[in-house]
Amino acid sequence: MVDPNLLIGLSMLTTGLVLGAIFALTAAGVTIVYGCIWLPNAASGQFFLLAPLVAWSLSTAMGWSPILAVAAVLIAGLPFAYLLERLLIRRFYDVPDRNIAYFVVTLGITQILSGVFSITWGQWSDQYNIPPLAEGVVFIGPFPLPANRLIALVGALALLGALFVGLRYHRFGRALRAVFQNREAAALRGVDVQRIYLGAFLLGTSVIFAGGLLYAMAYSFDLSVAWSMGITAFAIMIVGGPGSVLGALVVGMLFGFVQAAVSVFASPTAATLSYLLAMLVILLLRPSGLFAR
Amino acid sequence: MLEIENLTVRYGAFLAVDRVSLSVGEGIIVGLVGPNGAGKSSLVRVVSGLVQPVTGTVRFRELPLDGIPPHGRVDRGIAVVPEGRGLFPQMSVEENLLMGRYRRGMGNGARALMDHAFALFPILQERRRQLAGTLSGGQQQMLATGIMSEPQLLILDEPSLGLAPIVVDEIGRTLRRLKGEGVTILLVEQNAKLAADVADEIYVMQTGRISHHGAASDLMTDRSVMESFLSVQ
Amino acid sequence: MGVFGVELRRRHEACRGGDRCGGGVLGRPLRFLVIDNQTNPTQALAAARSFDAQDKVLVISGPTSSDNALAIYGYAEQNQVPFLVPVAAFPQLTKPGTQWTFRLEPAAVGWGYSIAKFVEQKKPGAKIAIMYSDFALMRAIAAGLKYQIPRSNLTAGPEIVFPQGSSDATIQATQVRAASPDYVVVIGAGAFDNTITNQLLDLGVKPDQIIHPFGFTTNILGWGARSVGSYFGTFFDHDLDGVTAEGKKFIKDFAEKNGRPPSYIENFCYTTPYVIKQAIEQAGTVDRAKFRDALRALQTKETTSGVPIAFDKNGARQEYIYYMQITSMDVAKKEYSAKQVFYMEWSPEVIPVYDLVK
Repeated sequence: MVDPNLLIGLSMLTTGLVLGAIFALTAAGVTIVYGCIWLPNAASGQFFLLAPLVAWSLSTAMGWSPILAVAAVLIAGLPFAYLLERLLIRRFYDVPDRNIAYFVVTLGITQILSGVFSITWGQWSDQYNIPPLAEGVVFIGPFPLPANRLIALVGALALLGALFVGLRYHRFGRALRAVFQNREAAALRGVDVQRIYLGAFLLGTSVIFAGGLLYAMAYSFDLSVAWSMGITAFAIMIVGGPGSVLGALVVGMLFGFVQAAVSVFASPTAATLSYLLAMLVILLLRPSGLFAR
Repeated sequence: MLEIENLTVRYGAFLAVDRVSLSVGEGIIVGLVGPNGAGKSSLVRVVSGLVQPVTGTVRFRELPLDGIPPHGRVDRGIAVVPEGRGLFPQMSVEENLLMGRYRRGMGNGARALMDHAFALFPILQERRRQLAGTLSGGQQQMLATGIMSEPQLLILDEPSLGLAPIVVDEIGRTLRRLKGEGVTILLVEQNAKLAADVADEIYVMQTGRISHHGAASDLMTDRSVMESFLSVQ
Repeated sequence: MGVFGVELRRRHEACRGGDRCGGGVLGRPLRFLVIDNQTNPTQALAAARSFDAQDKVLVISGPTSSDNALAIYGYAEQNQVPFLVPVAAFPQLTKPGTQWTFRLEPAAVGWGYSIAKFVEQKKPGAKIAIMYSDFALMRAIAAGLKYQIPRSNLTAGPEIVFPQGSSDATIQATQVRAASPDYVVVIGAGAFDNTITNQLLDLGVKPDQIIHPFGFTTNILGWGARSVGSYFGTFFDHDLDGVTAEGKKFIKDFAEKNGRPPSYIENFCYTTPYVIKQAIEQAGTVDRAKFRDALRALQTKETTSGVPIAFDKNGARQEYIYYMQITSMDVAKKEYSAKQVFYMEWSPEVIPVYDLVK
C-alpha cells in the first residue's frame, strides 16, 4: 500500500500546477490587454468560455479530432479578435478615461455573449467535455495522472514559458512592455503605439482563449465557468499589479498552489476564502499590487 | 534642417504656442530657452508628432512632417528626449538602450552604438542590468541621450532639470561631443546658462511667442534679454 | 444554478404534451396557458399573479426549479391558488401547514435517506464517503444521507464540501481514496459532477463504488463510458422494469424528437397534466378549493411506470426512488442502458425532512 501522504502530496503538486498555470495564463491575457490598452475586459470570462465551447462543437457535433478542433479555435480566434479591435476597441483609443468606457462596453459584450451562450450551447447541453487527446494515466511515482491532463499541463507551462521569453526578449515583447510603462516615450522611440495596441489585443485575447481550451482539456466545464474564471483572473491581475505580466504569472501560480495546499490542510471552501483573504491583505499592504508594470 | 513656420498650438481655450517660427541649421546646437509654461514643450511635442498644431508647418530636410506619426519621424532621423527623460523604469539599462534602437533593428551596428554609449558613460556599463528606475537622476539623463537611433536631429527637453551643477556641466560636454560627431541638436532649456554655454544660436520663448533670437554670444550679453529672462527665472 | 439547465426547456415541451389531455374533462377541453418565466423568480411571481388575477386559472403548474417555485409558493398559499409543482426538490415547498401547494418530485432530503437504505441492503456496515457541491439541492441530499448513515448502521467516511465555482477535485479524490470507503456518493453541481467522477476513476476508485443520487440523461452521458457500473437514483428511466405501454410510447416519441431518451424530469412534466385532469374529474367542478381537496385525496398511478401517486397532508408526494446501475453507454449516440437494482417507497416524514433543511 502506497503511503497516502505521498499520494496526497503529489495530487497537491499536480493540482497546483494545472490550476496555477491556467490561472496564470488567463490573468496574463487579461493584464496584457489592460496594461497596454487600458482595457479592463469584463468579458474575459466569456472569452475564456467561448473558445472551449466552439472546440466542443467542432469535436463532438462535427466529429473533428480534438487536437484539430483546439488548433482551429486558436487560429480562428485571431480574426475574431482582429475584427473586434477594428470595429469596436479601436474607436476608443483617443477617448480620455477610456478604461471606464471600455469597462462599460465589455460589460455589454458580456451580456450579449452570455445571452448567446444560453440560447445556443445552453440549449444543446448543460455540461461539456472535449474528448481527450490521449487516454490512460501516466504514473508520477505512485500517483496516476491522466495523460490528457498531463498534456494540458505541459501545454500550459510551455505557453507560459513562451509568453515570458517572448515578452522579455522579443522586439515586440519589449515594445509591449515599453508601452505599458511609458507610452509616450515608446512612441518617441519609434514604437507605433496603435499597432502595439492591436498586437496586445490579439495576443491577450489569444492567451485567454488558450487558457480556456487548456481548462477544457483538463476538466469538464459548463457555462458557469465564465463567471468564476473572469473574477479569478481579475483578482490575480489586481494582486499581481495591473499591467504586470510577471505579476500575473507569479500570482496566478501562487493562487493555484494556495488553493491546492489549503484544500489539503483545511477544505476546498477554506481554499476559496483563503485566496480572497490573501488578496485583501496584499491589497491593504500594497494597494498597487505586488509587481509594477 | 528643421524649419518651423508660423506654428500655433492650442489645448482647448489655452493658447500654448502662438505663431512661432524657428529654424535649426545643420550641424549646430540651437538653444530654445524660456520660463516654465512658455510653450517650449508644446513645440517639442508638435515636432515629435505627439500633438497636432492648429496652424503652421514643420519641415525636416525640406519635407513637411504633417500627418507623419511619431514613429515615422524617428525613421527620418529625428530623436526626441522628452521632459522627464522618457525612460522605461522597469526595464534594465541595456533594454532602455535597445528600445532606442527599435526602428533601426539590432543589426546595423547596434552593438557598436551600445559600446559607444558605454564609452561615453562608463557608469551605464557597470549598471547595464540594473532597472532604469533605480538610477540616479544624472545617470538617467545619461541613459536618455537618444543616440541609439543614430539621429540626424536630436531634441532634448529640459535635460538639466533637477540635476546638480556638476552633472549639468557633464551634459554640456556630452552635447558638444555629439555635435562634434555631426549631430544637430535642439536644446530646450529653462537653464539659460547651460544653453548659453553650448548653443550656437538661441531663441527665447515667452508666453507662447519667440521674444528674441540671435547668436548665443550676442544674446547673452544683451542686457534687456538677460533681464527679461532672468526676472522670471 | 444551471444543473438542470438544458432540461428546463425540454420540460416545458414535455409538459405541453397536450394531446393526451385532448379529450378534455367534464365536457370541456383543458386549456394550458404558458408563460416563459425565463427561470427568473421575479418573473415567475409576476406570471403567477397574472395567471391568477387575469386568466383566473384553476391551477398553476411549473415552474421547474426550486428558486422559482419558492417565489410562487407564498403567492399561491396567500391567495389560495392550487399550485402543482412538477420538478422542485426543495423540502420547504411542502412544509407543515402548506395548504395549496403540491409537489410531484420527492424531496431531496429523502433522496439522501434512500441512498443509505440502498447501501444498507447492498452491503451492511459499509463505509460511505460524500463529495458534494455547496448548493441548496446538494446540501439537502447530503443532510438526508448523513442523518440516515448511523441509523442504518453504516460508517461515515470523509465528507467533502466544494464551494461554488470549484474546478478541481484531484486532491479530495485522493483523500477519499486514501480513506478506502466502500462507496463514494458524488453530488457535484453541473460539469463539476463529471470532474469529480472522472478524477475518482482516475485514482482507481471502481465505477461500482460510485453512487450518484440522481441521474438524468445529459449528466449520465457527461460521466462518460468509464462510469459503466456506477449507480444513480432516479424517479423514471427508460430502462425501468415497470415501464408501461404508454410509458414506452412516451419514451419513443421523446427520443425521436430530442435524440435522447427522456429522464424523470420530463416524466414528471408529462405526468402533471394527467394528475390535474384526474383531480378535476374527482372534484366534479372547477372550483379551486374543491380541486385542492381532490388533489389531497387523489390515489392514482403514473401512467408511464405504474408508480403510485398520492400526496400527504402538506402536499408532499408519497416518496419513492429507483436505483439503477449503468450497464452500457455510447456518448456519441447519446445512448445508455441501465438496470434497475433497487426500489423503495416511504412516507416523507419518516425522517425529519423539514428540520434537516430549513
